[in-house]
Amino acid sequence: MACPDELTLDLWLAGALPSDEAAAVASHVHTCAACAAAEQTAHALGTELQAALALDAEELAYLSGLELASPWRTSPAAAALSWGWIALAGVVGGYAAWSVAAPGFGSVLAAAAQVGLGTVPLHLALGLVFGLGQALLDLIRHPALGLSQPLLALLALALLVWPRQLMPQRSTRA
Amino acid sequence: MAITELSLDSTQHLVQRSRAGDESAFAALVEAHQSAVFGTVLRLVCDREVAAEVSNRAFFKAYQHLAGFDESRPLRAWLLRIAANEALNGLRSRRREAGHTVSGAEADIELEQISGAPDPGEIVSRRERGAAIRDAVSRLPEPQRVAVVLRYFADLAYADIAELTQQSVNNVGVTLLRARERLRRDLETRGVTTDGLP
Repeated sequence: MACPDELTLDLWLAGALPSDEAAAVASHVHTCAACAAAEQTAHALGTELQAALALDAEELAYLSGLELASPWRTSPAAAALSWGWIALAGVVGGYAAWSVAAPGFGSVLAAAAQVGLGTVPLHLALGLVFGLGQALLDLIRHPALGLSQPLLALLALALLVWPRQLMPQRSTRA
Repeated sequence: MAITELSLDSTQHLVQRSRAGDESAFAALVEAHQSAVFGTVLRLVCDREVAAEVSNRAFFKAYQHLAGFDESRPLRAWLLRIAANEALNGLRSRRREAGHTVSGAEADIELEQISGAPDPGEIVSRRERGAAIRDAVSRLPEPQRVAVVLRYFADLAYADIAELTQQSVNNVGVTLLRARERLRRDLETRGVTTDGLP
């Protein structure tokens, strides 16, 4: 066999040749001083490049300061998820509480007036709470704004997903 | 390379636990492979802070896609593939933002310009030989830099590099030959002797 070309020799050294071709190159290299020298040179080059590219002490210190593994111990994904669930629970719970409590405000106001507790401050306070709450509900439900409970629910669901998408962007600096 | 080596059994066990939601198991995998992942990314992007962010993103992506990992294949190569892709995507988007791409031809021009740089001996005297080689690697055109880093830092087989870079094994060999030739020329212009380089 004639001396293999540079690419073939390189592929042989890398173990990337088919076995029959590799065997032929190997038997040639063992009998050819020039190819044996080329093999030695390639090994030296590989060693030199590996040494040059290896992380130095400063880079290793920087890496250990990053603590790349530690965010997984603090369960960041689970934390992000819980905020979404809290938001969703807040929307659902708030709507349910308001639906139950809103008629009660009117009753309380009427009862207070009947038993003589309809003093000005109490009347004003209850009226203010009731009025603000009703106005907020009307605003949320206003068709012109397109806002609705389903939309809020979608917003809450988006909060379930959105922080997870942002997670890769979080800082890793120590 | 300072890597905490895990046996195949340990790796498979940790992968299975991670898939089941055990984050401490995944943390152990991160710890075992962080040096390889961070180092590969660092040698590709040449910026520590960017490398840290990309490494973190790569591990996060790996965690998200762990269910799709083929356990019959090495986890290290899979992680490095994700990391290298993340690094290259980051580099490309940064280039788009900068509106400047150093193609092979442009790199040639830059190399010619470097050859006229004053006092190469002074430059070499300021740096370690290894640092000079690292700098030369960082100046390689992207395909060559990727091949060199994956081969000589990450120690990946040609077949793995071929799969990652979506080219044939022969092309990987050709890319590495050209990279070594370019490294030799670059280092010579800077007064660094290259006994091992062709």
